[in-house]
Amino acid sequence: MIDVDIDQRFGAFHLAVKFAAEAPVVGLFGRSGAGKTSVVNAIAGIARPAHGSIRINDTLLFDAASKIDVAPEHRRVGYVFQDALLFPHLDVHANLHYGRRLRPPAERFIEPAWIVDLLGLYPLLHRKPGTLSGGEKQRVAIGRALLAQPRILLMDEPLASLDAPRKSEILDYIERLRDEVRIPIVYVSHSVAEIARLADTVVVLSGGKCVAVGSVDSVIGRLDLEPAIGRDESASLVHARVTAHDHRLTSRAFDGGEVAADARQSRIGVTGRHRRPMSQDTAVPGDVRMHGFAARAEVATALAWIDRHARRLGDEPVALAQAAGRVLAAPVAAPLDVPAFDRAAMDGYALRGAETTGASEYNPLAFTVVGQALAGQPFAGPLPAGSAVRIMTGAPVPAGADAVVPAEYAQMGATEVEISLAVPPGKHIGYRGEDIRTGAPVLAEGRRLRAQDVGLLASLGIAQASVVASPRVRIVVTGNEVVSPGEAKATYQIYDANSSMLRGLVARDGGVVESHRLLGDDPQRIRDALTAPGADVILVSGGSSVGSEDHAPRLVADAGELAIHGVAMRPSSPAGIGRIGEALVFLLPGNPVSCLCAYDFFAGRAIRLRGGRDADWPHRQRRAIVARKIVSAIGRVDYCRVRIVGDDVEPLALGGASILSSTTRADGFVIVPSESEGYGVGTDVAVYLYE
Amino acid sequence: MLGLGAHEFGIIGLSLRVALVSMICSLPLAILAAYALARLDFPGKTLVDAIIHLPLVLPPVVVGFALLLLLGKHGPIGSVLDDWFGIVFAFRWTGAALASAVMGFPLMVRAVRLSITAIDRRLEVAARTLGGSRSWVFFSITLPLALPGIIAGALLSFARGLGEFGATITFVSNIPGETETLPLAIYAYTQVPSGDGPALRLSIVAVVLSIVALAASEWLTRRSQRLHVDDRR
Repeated sequence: MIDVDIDQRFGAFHLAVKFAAEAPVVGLFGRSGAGKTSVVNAIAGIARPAHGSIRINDTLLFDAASKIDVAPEHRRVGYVFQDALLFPHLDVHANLHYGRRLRPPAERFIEPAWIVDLLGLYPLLHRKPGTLSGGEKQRVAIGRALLAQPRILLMDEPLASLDAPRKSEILDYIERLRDEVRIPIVYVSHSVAEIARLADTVVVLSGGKCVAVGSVDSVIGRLDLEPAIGRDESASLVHARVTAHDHRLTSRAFDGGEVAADARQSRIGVTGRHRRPMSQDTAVPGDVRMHGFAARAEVATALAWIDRHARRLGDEPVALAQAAGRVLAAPVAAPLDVPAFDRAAMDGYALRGAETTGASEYNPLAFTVVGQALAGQPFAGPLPAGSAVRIMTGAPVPAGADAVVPAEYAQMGATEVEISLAVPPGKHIGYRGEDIRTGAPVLAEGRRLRAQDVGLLASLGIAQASVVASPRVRIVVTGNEVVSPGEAKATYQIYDANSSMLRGLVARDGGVVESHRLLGDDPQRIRDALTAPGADVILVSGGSSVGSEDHAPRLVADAGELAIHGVAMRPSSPAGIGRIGEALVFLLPGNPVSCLCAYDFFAGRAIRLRGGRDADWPHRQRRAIVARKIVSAIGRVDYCRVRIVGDDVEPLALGGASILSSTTRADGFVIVPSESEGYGVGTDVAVYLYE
Repeated sequence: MLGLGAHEFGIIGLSLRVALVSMICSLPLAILAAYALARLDFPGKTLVDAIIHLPLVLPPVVVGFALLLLLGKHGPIGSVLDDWFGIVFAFRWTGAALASAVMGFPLMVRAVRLSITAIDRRLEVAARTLGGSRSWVFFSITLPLALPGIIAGALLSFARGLGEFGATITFVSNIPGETETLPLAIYAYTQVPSGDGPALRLSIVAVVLSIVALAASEWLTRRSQRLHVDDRR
């Protein structure tokens, strides 16, 4: 049990932190300057707060009121600093024993041999700190702190000065420590990845204040903590068990699925926490709403929610003339045979094939021509033996005839025709139902009708098709600063770019814009627009984040369900997804690029699904080689606008979410999944093309 | 060897003794002063700093005169020491050592202070959290890490002591066999006819001693610095 209540002013900075936490590992989290180190220094006795008290388990270490201030050497608080701070004049062995020698034997419960083994220090024992690598130094520092027989271990950004592989290595050691030494740890970090992996309870500091205390699952990912946690740091957590490794990927099983991620981490069988990467297979179960805000979801979670809730709309009949591009709601079966009768496939002479046996250029056979058959004007009556009927392509074959000799193998005389080609029965005849039989399936349900499909339907005599209703999309633009293009505007106002862009995107995905409303920031009007019937999908542009005028998230939560608010991606992290009645609501960021990205990722998918279309990206794809590196971060999906030069692809200047021109200059975009840190030069990547 | 007689050897021995004693006796005080100036905050720190550095800028004769006034037989401190402890500095070799110590003190403090300032304070903090009391941390961490500076300071003070003239001659006068150190003896030889030969000989001795002191300082400093890195290649 760690009970901290301290108050201290450093010039303008006011540190006032009060929390109590009981856990094997308490994560003290916050950005730099949040006051984390001041808190641990106070716990260690290095700094003396002006007011308050500090208690560990049942021992009062500091109490300003009763003037209790236990000296640091008597607090038995092990402190691991950011840079190891090994004593340079002592070798590793002497460093390790420095603190141990100072404790009375009765207090020694952590044995050097154990720690040396646990931290893999044996090969280092006789070396001087100056010859150790950063990771080795940090391991020695941890061992030194432990051998001082502490009641609690404070670790202040122990990984901050290490490179990524060393970080991972030390994290492994710290995990073993947590599980084997069983000493409470206060772990200070600005990295969600580290906190998520190690801590059970998290204390979030911001500006010298404690803004949240709770289990790691409940705190990491809270959108309202974004200013304290940092946009790029938020994530969602999955508890999983390592099931397998291959050379690159580690598989982890959790309730509801399995994930695979980079292989730097734990041994098989170890249960640990995993920041869930983007994957298409399963969704993380569980309620993501908390405290009126939603967790910052992984992209995959958001997509899974959409796939569950974006139900296909009902059918509607549509005249064939308007059917192209629509999605068939039911399979179409042929109401008749095509062709409807046996017909000639060539211009020539219809006759009995058997009677042409032996006919050749040198041995033409003569047939009496008894008449002719034209398309729409059949030969009446049966064909007598030894005779032929002159026939045109598409004309019905007379009864008795079973083959057609093409005209070029026939020499017409006065009444007879000389045939110079032997044809087997059936030659050049299109039999009834040969193309399509009555009742045969012609087009499947869900088929997006192409021009030739519509032609086929027409050929079957079908005048109207039953198609999936087009999703009715309501575009709601919020923000007092937004003015329609063409109107006069004050300098501080901006033109509404998003709704014009959204109209085009909605049309692309098969939706129809039901209405388009420019509403300012009036919550009542926004509420009315959200709850009015008549829309299948509602797109709200602007006001989706956590600003004071951002009403939409609250209004959606009040009127229905705000399932997802905040997605771990860039740009457009504050996107929100929910539903009111039957309508799906998408809160799109006001910044045009974020808006485009959030639409493409989420809203467009929902519109396509509701309209019966394929959920996948509608964009054409191509492969290209990365010519300038594309930077992302683990735990975040990046929508990176790129330009294609020849067969190469390079990212455009990123950053500004409101720079719409970047999407105009871009040829397409590359998606960097959340388990990737980006793509290096030379990587072959898929580019989605803007068209 | 250089034709030095017993008299000259006596002078050299006395000089070495005065310089060595002054160095050894002032060293603990200098380390404490340096630590206090480098690490502690206390009222009057600037004044203490100034007083320690005063001998560096004052004419040595003024320092000697001040010592004579304070520590002479009838001076306020000297009389107390004489009456209560029977300790007399005036006109004794111990007085010469004291004068050397006072003159060399700022040099010593400066060197030690610089090396203490250069030590990462957080190493001391780390040692405290590991269970070391303030004094144990000082002896086990601060002192070993400051060793190069301490050696350099000690040698500077020793060399200063060998060359001390003004304060010594003012405070304890030039008494052959008691307070006549090398510089004083050289000065005395130059004041008498046919004293140039002995003066030159003693000067050469002074040069040699200085060079040896410098070399020793360099060697010790290097050796102590090697403590900080592994000597395995």
